[in-house]
Amino acid sequence: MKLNKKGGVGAEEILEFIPYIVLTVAVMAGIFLLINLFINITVDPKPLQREVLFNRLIYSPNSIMYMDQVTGRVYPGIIALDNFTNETLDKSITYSYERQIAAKLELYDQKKELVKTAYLNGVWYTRLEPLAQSRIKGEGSADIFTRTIPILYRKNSVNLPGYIKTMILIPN
Amino acid sequence: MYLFNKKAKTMLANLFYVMFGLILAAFFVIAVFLRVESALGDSTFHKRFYARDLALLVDSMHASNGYFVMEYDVNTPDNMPLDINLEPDHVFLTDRDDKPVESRAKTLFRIGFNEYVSVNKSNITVTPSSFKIIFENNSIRFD
Repeated sequence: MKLNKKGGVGAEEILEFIPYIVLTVAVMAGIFLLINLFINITVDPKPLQREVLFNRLIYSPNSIMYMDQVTGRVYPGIIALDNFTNETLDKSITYSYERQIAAKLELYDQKKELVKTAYLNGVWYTRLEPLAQSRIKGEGSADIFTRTIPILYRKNSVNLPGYIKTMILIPN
Repeated sequence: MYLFNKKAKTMLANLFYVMFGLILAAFFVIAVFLRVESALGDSTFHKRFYARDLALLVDSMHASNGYFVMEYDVNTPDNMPLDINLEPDHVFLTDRDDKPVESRAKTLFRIGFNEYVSVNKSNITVTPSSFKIIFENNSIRFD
């Protein structure tokens, strides 16, 4: 069979099918891409990591929260101002690889004036914050998550109302 | 003498198109099956998932007080046995092998530890089942 000669299968008829062929290939490639999209073998723990860290800050004994030294009871939501330091935070949460997670905690009073700031893994926080704030992508950068909640802070055995702003930074 | 008239030519072109479509469909089905099979047969996802999940679970237990036991279910395919290891600063998973654990490829995730809670080294050999995560006297272990 010859394509272009009379009596053969005409090129004209085959040319008519080119749009259909292109469409068929496009549809199948599209379905394949969709299937690939739904086959998810990546695990992104960042949202969970920041929740765990936030809850550790709020509920952990021997951290920034006020703890009854006799009973060992922790009072979540009441910050002991004396414990609100970089040292306490670094002692309560340590990673064997420093570029794992970092956080900045800002304590505000009721008038939203800054009372005190503390860092967890402050070195890496200050290194990565500019990249994260400018939303630079890539392995060298990080994602930053901010959350502000109302709390009490304990100063000279008196509970005062205030807010805590946590900025949790997770390297990519 | 014409071998094919106009109708025959159109039918033949149709036939080519159908044949092309069938061949393409066959390639498509094969490609999809291979892709799905490679995704399901690879233990990377399971190792990543369980390493992260267990490490973050142990991490969150550092905010706890008291004594409690958790039953942790592991659902992996029968042909994908994994070993789960707890270290003081991380959790790592490996494919089960005759080689010593140290020489296997590890998938690990780090734990935020401190001096108030001790994390005891544990090794769990999993055959699709469950194991216990025990928090007792400020120490965590897998059992």
